[in-house]
Amino acid sequence: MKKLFSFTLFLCLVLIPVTTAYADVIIEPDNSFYTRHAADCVQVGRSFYAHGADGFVTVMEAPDSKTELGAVENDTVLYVYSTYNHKGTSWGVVDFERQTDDGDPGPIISGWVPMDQLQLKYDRISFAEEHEKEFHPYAGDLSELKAAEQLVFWTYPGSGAQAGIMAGWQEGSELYLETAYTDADGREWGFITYYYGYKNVWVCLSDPANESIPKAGDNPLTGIWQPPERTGSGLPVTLLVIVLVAVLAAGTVILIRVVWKPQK
Amino acid sequence: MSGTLLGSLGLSLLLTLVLETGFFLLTGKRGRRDLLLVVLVNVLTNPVVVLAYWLIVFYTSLNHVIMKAVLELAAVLAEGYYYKKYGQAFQRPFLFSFAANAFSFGIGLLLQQLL
Repeated sequence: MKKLFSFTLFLCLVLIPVTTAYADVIIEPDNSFYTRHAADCVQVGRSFYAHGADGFVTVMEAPDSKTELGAVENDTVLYVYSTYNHKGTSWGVVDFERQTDDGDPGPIISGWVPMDQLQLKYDRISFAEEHEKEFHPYAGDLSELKAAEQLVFWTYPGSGAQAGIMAGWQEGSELYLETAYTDADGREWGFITYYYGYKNVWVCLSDPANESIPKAGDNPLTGIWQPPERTGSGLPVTLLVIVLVAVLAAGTVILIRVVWKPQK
Repeated sequence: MSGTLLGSLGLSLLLTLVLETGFFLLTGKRGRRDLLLVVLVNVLTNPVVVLAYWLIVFYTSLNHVIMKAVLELAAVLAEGYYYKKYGQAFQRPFLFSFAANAFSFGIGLLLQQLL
């Protein structure tokens, strides 16, 4: 027991501060499997539609568990925090509302679903991947934004989904518009990485105060998501550790035999 | 995680050596060769047990608690074997091995409470 205690103690001492640091910037799911394997999970932070073959997706307690936590109907939006590769299958950890036996809304809990039963909800990253070649540097002086009575932020150009509204330009503030994009209707958009709490949003430079820019008809509902390469634990390094431990063990056995060699 | 694993193996071995040699001295034994044997036996078993447990947790669906018990039992038997074969002051080597583990476990629980 002492060995595993020592190991666990070390993990507590070393990993708890790291977890705390992460907690400042990343909201993590409340799931014991995730807690134990967080280091081997790949952060996703994107929304997906449930898309099971039988019209629903079963949420499991853990990728290696047979315990079902509940089911989610297709087209329900699930936010995937991270993925974990379990024996070649990519699993996503999500929050979902567990219904009571009476069908009433229950508590929100975290569970795991196979990623191949989800469809990525088209988002700003999907948009960037699709239109990256059309992006161009912003060459203006922000006068469009400074003159606007309010600033309407969007999830991505033509999404029809607002990310927030700000009451006009903040005097004395600085904003660096790195990327711009011109849509099919000739509107120019600018990508804002950060401005007064708004992160990774788009603003319509041609009409920054307009709250009613419609959703572009050709924007898809779903995007393409590629599962990350097998993360596991970095097999080559693990193999190296195995070899090192084996060499240490063999060397120790030999050393014991040499030191306690029977006297002739 | 593998980088963490390597560090974990080193530190867990260090903590184990402190606990194990401490138990050895607490039982009134003072033989240098026996103390060296305690150190070497733990160098032999600790990294293997920790690594095996880590691999089981990450790569299999086996019951972790049961596997932990199996690995610890294997460590107790291996240490007892070496104490019996090479030790000088171990009248009951397997009992000593088991008691050392139990002692460490108790200290471990206490430290967990304090932390």
